[in-house]
Amino acid sequence: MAAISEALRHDLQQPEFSEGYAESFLDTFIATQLKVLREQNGWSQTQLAEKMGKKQTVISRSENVNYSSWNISTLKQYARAFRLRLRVSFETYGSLIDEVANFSKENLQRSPRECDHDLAGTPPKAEKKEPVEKPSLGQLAPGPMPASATQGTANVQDQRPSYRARLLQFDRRKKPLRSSVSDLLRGQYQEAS
Amino acid sequence: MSWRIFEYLERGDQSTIGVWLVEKDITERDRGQLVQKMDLLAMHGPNLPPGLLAGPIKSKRNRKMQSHIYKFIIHGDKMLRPMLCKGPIEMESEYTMLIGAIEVNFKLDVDAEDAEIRRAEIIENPNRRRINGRYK
Repeated sequence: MAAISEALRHDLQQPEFSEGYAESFLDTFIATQLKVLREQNGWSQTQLAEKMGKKQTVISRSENVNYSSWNISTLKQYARAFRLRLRVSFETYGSLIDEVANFSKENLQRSPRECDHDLAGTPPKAEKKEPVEKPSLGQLAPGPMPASATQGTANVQDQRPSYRARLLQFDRRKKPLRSSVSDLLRGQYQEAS
Repeated sequence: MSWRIFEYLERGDQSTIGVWLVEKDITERDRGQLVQKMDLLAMHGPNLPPGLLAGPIKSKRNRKMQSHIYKFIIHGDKMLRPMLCKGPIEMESEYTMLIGAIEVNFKLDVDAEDAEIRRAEIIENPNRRRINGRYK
């Protein structure tokens, strides 16, 4: 690997050679990354083609290092399908040496928007809300299965106090501005202080 | 895992690809493309870059599929199609450039059978090839 980098450092000083090398590497980079990203998503060529509204043969052709007729519009469509952004940038020839050395499957993989650590790591501006446990419908409390249907209902009802306690805590924190209808009927109305 | 790239030696122990590049007056731009593909093969083998090697190639002369012979495809000033094979001594760590070829009007100027003959020569006498200094 080091020998290739050293040889490349010398070769890239030749203008025509460096153009041929860089253009061929660009085609290789795009084709390989398209394949790596598709596989990272667990999609077949047909599945990706369906998502993009294209034929499978188009995907197959793009995933070939010998293809060179790229256009930005198509690459943007790929970016949308992978939930990534496309970046096109002009670079120096010297930077190609590291790019070639670091070219690997791992370095070509990218996290889609929903798994993007940089986005997830951004501190939220809104006040952090206390998560409310919400058991899914029909979910039983942990423990052995109930012996009868009645016991089963009781088992689910056991989960209610936690909700109630949470609501009561909320009520205690915030003084009521107005009393409930039942309090008014009992003559217990009090103005909020 | 990296792969070593060897070259078949012509008479006078000259590298076949080196001689071919000069004889066919291959431009520096096309050489750059060829070297890029050889670098890629040396660094990653045939699996990571999709479509790096095309083949196996069928011989036009004897109509037989030369199951060990593959080619690089280079769309340059000339349509370079140098032929190579895996191994043939160490099959899991080497490739050998066997013969230079150019495609004109969808026809190769060299037959795949010639590449296969050279491959057989190397198996018989491994000194008929030399490692390319770039991939030592």
